[in-house]
Amino acid sequence: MAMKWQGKSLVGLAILLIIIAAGLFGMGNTLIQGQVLFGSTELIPWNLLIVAYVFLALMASGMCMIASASHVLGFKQFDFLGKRAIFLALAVLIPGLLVLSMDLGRLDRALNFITSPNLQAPMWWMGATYGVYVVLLLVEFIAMHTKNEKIMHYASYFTLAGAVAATSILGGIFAIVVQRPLWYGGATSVFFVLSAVITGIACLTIFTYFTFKFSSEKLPLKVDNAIKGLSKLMAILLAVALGFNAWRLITMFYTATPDFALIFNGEYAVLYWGGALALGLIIPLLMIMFKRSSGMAVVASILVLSGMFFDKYVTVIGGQLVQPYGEVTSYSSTITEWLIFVGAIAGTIVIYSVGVKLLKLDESTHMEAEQDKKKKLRPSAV
Amino acid sequence: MTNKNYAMTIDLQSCIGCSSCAVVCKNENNTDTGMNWMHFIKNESGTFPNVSYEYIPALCNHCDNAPCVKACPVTAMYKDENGLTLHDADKCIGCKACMASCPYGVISYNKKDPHDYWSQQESWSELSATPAEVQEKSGAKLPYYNPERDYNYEAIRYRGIVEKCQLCDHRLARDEQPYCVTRCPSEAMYVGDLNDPDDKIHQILSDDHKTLKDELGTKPKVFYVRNFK
Ligand code: SF4
Ligand code: SF4
Ligand code: SF4
Repeated sequence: MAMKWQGKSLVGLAILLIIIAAGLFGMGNTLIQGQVLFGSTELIPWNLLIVAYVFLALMASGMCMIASASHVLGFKQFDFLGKRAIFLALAVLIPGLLVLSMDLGRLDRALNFITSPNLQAPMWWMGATYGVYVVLLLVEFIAMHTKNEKIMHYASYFTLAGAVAATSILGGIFAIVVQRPLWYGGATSVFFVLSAVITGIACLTIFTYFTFKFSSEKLPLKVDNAIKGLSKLMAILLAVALGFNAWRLITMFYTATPDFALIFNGEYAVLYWGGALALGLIIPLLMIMFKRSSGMAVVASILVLSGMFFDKYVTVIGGQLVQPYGEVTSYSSTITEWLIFVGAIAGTIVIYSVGVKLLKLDESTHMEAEQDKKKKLRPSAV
Repeated sequence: MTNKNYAMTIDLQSCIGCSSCAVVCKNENNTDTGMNWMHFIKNESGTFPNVSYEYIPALCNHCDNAPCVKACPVTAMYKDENGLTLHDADKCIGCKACMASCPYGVISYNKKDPHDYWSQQESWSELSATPAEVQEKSGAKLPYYNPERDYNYEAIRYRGIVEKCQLCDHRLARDEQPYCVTRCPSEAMYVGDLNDPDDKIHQILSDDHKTLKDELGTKPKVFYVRNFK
């Protein structure tokens, strides 16, 4: 059995490395030829890479929020997932930031963020918070790995705050643009935080499930319970997200802008109703409600992830289609954009797999360790 | 010396919709094909015979409350002391936050180095010179290169940054009107100083005027005077 898995995982690894190579090729090409390789235009400044970055960055923050919140609030059930979640967050965020960097016309001037900051710009705050946040995540992970409880304890408060701040500021980049109805308003920032948690849960569920599936015949009870617990939480949040979408539609219905027409029955209607709402929210919600098994939770999570991607696509790209004086333009992504995005996802999977092999992500975190210690001290209590 | 507060007026009843302003701006500021610092909004409505047609020259409004300036993370888009919204080519990181937040769509992004046409080795006919030969003979990156733009801004911008109308600040600095203003055949445009009570602009603005999307609170400073409607 082990041999069989080893063979399979070698093939898997080879495929992943090829995808990463393709992504790197896309990046290299972008650095050489410039953004002529992207589908963005004068009218649509932000392309698929921004969609991808938003999607990945929210995913990373979401996982961090779950890990840190379960530590801060003492959800012991998820505690053993903490180290995995924090590592996964890093494994998602770092390739995500690389994706974003490809959309900067002058990456070589990134230092201008420090030398001439504009404190009014959400984009500046986004850069600053994500920068600090990556460092905090690293600190928390190292503390977990070296079992430094004190640092870990404080770090989890900071990463929780960092994750919420970074996510809502990322939303703020869009929320401040008054002439784009799909972006504008404080609700966008709040929705970004909500969708971060949802995306984070989905991603954590999928990775945890498959990690244990690959390494043991049967899912350990603790894992099975944790996944079921996560899916319950996800179901509640999916329902809240549905409410958010309902109100977004209702408020837009009253102003009836071209943007509303675009998602209501226009070019992006299928993507919005079918992709973001049905596939991403309604179907997984029903699935989790009707059958509570970890297998079902994983399928639901996969749907949720794709739905959340469509949601971000509709928001970021759809939000730019309507031009200042009402005409509606269109956008098509390019192969290079996709190569970079898919390469980043493959990068995440490889970084995570290396982590599983070398960094003991399954290790009990402190609470369990404490419980184990207590049990050992008082064997009669068992 | 007190600072100025520049603003532009465009008389829509004088404007004949010839697009000269858009064309000459390209000459003055060395913009490439597809890059238009001065452009237009065209509205056609109704069905024949009850049709109406509207042509509005459109450029950066040098908004007093400019969203592009607020959104730029590295202060590459900034307000100068004379009320202009200017772009600093040396600071720009090409993040396009300004483009996403400008409600008027007047900022352009350089996806590639501009004017690469003039380095091509192929001519359109055997009898003519190749673009590269013309470039070499003229001794500039493009034969109609205007070195004056070099005064305080990259004369020809480059790949990876944005660009937009600077209200010809290089001309205003020596008390000349912007180039589009001087070349308008019907003298529809004028740039004046709102801070100077004796400036002709106040007289022009005593006519009925509007700004674009002023409901957004951007405080645009291109005033359209004497609309037909
Ligand atoms: S018109 Fe656009 S680019 Fe010009 S100042 Fe206003 S927001 Fe900025
Ligand atoms: S593209 Fe340049 S000018 Fe525009 S917001 Fe980014 S750094 Fe500022
Ligand atoms: S003011 Fe100068 S830069 Fe602006 S549109 Fe006119 S010619 Fe072009």
